[in-house]
Amino acid sequence: MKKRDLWIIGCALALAAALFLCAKLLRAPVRAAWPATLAGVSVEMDDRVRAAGGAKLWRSLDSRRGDAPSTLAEAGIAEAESYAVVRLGDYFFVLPLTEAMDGATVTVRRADPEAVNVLALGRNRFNMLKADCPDGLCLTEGEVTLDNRETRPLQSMLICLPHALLAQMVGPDELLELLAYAEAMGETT
Amino acid sequence: MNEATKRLTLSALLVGVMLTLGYVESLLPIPGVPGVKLGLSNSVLMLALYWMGPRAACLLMVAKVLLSGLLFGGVTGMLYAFAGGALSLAVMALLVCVAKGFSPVGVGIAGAVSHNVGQVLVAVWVLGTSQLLYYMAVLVLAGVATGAATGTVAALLLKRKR
Repeated sequence: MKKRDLWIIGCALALAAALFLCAKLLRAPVRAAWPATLAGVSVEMDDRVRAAGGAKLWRSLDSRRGDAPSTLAEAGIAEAESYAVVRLGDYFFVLPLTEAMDGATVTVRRADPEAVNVLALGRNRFNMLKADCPDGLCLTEGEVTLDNRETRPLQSMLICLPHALLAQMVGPDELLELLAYAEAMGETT
Repeated sequence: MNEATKRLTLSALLVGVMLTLGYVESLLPIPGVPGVKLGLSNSVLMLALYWMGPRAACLLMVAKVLLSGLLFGGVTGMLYAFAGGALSLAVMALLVCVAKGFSPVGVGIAGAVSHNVGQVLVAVWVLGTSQLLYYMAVLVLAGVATGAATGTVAALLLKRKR
């Protein structure tokens, strides 16, 4: 190791510090590059999810809606402390993480290329239960809870990169802001 | 032995070692942060860079990404591996061949950090979220540690031969 190497280490540390700072300051809306359609995608949920109010499907928009809902009730979303937002490209569905969700699972299947992800839900928590992606990284990312979402390396997200699937925990205010940039597509069943 | 044959056998050997190390590492994840690997195959890529030059190292990197993608990672995984590998190799080649005066340890750190940055940048593009910046910062710090380790391995190996 030479003295000049310290420059590299210094640059890396400065980069990390800048990224931490940006991550704390930036709160940009999420938009995915692909897939643009839901063709061949099916979302299967068990009875608990249906009993807890089901999942509403939404599609991201480029700009803020003029008639954005002012409350979650207006958007037809059940009251909860936290919500799971599961993204597939431009589409996402919202699951209220209430007590009724304890032990519930949601299965997301894609036909082409074949892909399966199973999320396990609970009150203010969720984790990836099964995934048939080759690296299986999302299975090692642990669970997202209301308490640990500020301290996890991936913050409030679970990511399955090979399937371009992103599950994120949001609070009621964040969800309302998210819905202002989206249009309702109805129920997923 | 003829020089071209020597290069060919050395390249094939190095790709084989890289694939093996990459596979063994995928079986031994580092607990705590998902997605962090030691990246020992980068030590081997550094040997190729020092011994055979940037062009050969570039070919080895492409061969490694293609083969390990086909063997273990799947086609989508290749995109991430290639982004990380290309950015990492570009930075390391600049440090070794243009901005001389850095030791293999420094080059290893720069390579590991840029590898992680490249991969997260692709993830940012695929998922369309800038919220991965926090994760990228964690991976940059992890890269300093793993890069120092793999750079030290490369430095020791470089001292042994020639």
